[in-house]
Amino acid sequence: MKRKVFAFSFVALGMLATFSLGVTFFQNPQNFRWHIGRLILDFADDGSADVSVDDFGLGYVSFNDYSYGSSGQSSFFLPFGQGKGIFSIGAFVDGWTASEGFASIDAFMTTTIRCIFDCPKNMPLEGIYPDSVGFVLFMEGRANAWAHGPLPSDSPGYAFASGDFATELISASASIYALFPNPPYMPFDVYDYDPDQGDRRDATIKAIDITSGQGEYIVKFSGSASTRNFNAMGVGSAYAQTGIVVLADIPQSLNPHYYPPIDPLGVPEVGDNEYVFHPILNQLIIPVGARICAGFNPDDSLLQWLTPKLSWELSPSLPVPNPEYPLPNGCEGDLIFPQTLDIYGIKWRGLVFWTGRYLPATNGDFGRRQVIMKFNGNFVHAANVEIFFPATAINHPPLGNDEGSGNPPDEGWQFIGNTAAWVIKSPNWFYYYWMAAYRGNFTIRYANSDTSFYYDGDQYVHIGNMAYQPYSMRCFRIVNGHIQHADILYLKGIHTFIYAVEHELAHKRHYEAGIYPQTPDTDGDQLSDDWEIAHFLDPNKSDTTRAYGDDPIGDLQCIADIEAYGKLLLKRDLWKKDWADTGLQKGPPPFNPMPWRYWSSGTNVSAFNDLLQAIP
Amino acid sequence: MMKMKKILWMTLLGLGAVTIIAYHLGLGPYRPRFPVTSGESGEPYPALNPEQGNLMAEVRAIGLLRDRSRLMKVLSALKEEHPLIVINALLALGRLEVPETTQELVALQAKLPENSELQPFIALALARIEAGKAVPLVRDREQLKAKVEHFLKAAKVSLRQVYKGALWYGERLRLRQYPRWAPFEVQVLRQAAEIVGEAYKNGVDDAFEVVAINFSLEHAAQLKAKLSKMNKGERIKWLVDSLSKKRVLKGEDRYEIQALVDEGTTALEAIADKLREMRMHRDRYHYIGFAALFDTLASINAPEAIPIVKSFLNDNDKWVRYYADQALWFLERDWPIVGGIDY
Repeated sequence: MKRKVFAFSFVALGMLATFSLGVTFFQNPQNFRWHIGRLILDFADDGSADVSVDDFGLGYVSFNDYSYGSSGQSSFFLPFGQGKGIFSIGAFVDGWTASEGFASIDAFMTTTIRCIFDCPKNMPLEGIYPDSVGFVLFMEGRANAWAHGPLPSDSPGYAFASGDFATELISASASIYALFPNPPYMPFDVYDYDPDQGDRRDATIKAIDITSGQGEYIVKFSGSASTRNFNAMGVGSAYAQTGIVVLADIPQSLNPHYYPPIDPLGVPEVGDNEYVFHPILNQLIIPVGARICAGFNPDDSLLQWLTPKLSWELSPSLPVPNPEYPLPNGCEGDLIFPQTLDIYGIKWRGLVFWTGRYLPATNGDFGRRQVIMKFNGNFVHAANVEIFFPATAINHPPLGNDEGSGNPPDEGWQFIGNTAAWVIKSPNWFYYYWMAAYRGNFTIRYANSDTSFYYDGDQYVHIGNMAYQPYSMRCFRIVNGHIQHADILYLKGIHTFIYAVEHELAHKRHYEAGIYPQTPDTDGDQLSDDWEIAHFLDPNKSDTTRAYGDDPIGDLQCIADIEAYGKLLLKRDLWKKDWADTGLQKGPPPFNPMPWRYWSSGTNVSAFNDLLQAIP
Repeated sequence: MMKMKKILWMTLLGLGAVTIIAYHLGLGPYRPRFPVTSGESGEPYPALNPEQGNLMAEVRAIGLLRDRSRLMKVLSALKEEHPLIVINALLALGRLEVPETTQELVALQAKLPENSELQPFIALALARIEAGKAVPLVRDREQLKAKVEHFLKAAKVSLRQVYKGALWYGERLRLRQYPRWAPFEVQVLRQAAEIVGEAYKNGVDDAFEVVAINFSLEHAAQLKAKLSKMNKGERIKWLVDSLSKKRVLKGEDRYEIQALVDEGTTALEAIADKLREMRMHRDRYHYIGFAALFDTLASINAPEAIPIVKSFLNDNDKWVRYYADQALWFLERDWPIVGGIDY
């Protein structure tokens, strides 16, 4: 008899676990902190319960991982930090052996969802901190009540059980009152799944302010469960759980230069979320999706419910390949993602864009954009991204319907000796830098050469292959009536281009103005002695300042550099339009503060406030 | 009609054959083996900072001293981004003549575009290594002849081409149209002068007569030949005197400054003595003589030179003050300048 009672009790407890708890208790606590790029996400639970157990029989109440079975009334608290976002209560009494029993629990729990911005260490002054995290908050739960008739005996019995919970999104309740008349020759169960008020699921969009570096959202649960019975068993339970869906990357085995993981709180100013068009295919792939963050493994039912409700887009948008063949979203594990067919019919997880045969036509088509995640068509979160062109590729479009003319920016010249031999396509950096800084100036041409140069009397200046790479230019000042090499300015990207162009244009101006070549020229630097004396240079030394390693035309270079520096200062802010994957906006800032660095001070302001910007 | 056609074809073929033979004999106008840098006023190389200046000075010294124990330093300089440092390292590798570095150089040669400015210097280094492999040490006339022949063969230039290049370059300098670098053939001439000079030092007394190369066609090669016939003391004295008497410093004068800088700190005393003498006899010297010696002291970059340079900061001549101040600027920043890289 005793063994049978024990067996029944064991079965009942198992059923209670099945109906009311329904979760795995052995989650790794670390699962409840997520690192998604710069977003650190913590779940923390805090709860308390009032319980009452009248233990004539076997009576228990349970609250999440904890159970209480002593007779009497009590209160207890959940240890802080359990962090699963799961609210589970139950009340059980076995009234078979002790004739009568009573158990109840009245519980309250909060789940704190804390979002922390993992701030970059060397945030540039120009950087913009993300101010909020948007996500989809979802909840699901159910309430159950169950009664079990007495053992075969002559005694009649009854059982009453109830369970309920309430949250901001969903609530449910279930109750049952069962009479087991005398004599029931066979035991029987009465369940209440409460199909009308049982399983519940809903979701809403929330945003947490993180302007202070972190913020939190609190999900509240409350509920109760109780049972009273005589010569019978009863179980009342309620279960609810919550989780969030955040914009996240979809891991793929792709070249991280072109397809880096997306970060919901990425700061493109320090190199996050930077995407480069493919140098040949003209495709741009952003492996974006969403991650379900919850203290439990999302089941198929939840995945199937969430997946079609999510969508992603790039704003402002770019053309997509195969718009006539949209694919439904996919899901795997805790990930949900868009699926896109590229021009070759290959299916990608993420967003794929394709600009046709060439990259976009203007520099303004690259740069800052947002990847937006939506839920049921409503805005959830936007991640800042930056779009770049591959600098050394040649997949920019032709321009001006003058193919073969050698005109900038889409074409340049291959030189053999001093002769422009044939027309070649210019690299992307020349095309887009020209568009950004010198649009309409057709005297500036690309040359497939190590250096930039100007031939005396030529109507063009020729910009060579190094004019997008790091460069250190000389800066000068007047000291005691003479020009002196005073500083070095470290440049990169579009500033190197501007420097090279302005240096060569200065030579062109100087030649056309008759500044050189002139005689008498004692030191052979092509500047006349009188001109040098009048402009604080030494007519007897070809590299007065020694800034050019005793170059035979050091002084000629010096005056071109002085003017180039003045012009460069006027175009200083064009670094904001540098969208080359080798340029100033790509990766961690090459200089902080931007956009360049002086050798004299180590900052973007020279230690000298009198650097020459024009020939003195 | 048929006969006419035949004659026409024969003439064309004959002309073609003559052209090909002439090309291979090096006849006709000068055709540089490597393209000479375009533009008379191209953008200058990026400015060097003190660390880069020191690296260049160190690498050059390794090459000049034939210090193979510090080969790794030179090889690491070869990986630097600044082209001047790489060129400096290539010349040092050529002087070290270590056959094991060939592979490294060939890899660099393959990596760079054909029209890269570095290509002639890689070819130059490879040619010197090849010559060094064939004749590691020159002790007699035959070995010298063999080494020079190997060098020219490995450089893939004939002596006729070298002369044409030197004459072409001389004409360019006369017209004040400076290519960024002297053409490859001129670099070959300078390196040949160095090889012959080494043989002379090793006891081949008639080294210059044996090879019968006309080094006087180019300023730097002539200077190398001239200096290699002197001992260290004579060289320093001659260079100090020559520089002190300068009235103009043109581009080619950097080679004399570099030659004196290459003598190292042993030249400091002679320069300081000369500067003191010049101060005593101001009327005999132009301020440019002071400038040349100040430039040399700044390039040697020894702190011992600071007091003598400082003593000219209050000179009556504004240019002497200027160049003393300029030299101090480099000296106080420990910032050497290797001006004559391709010397």
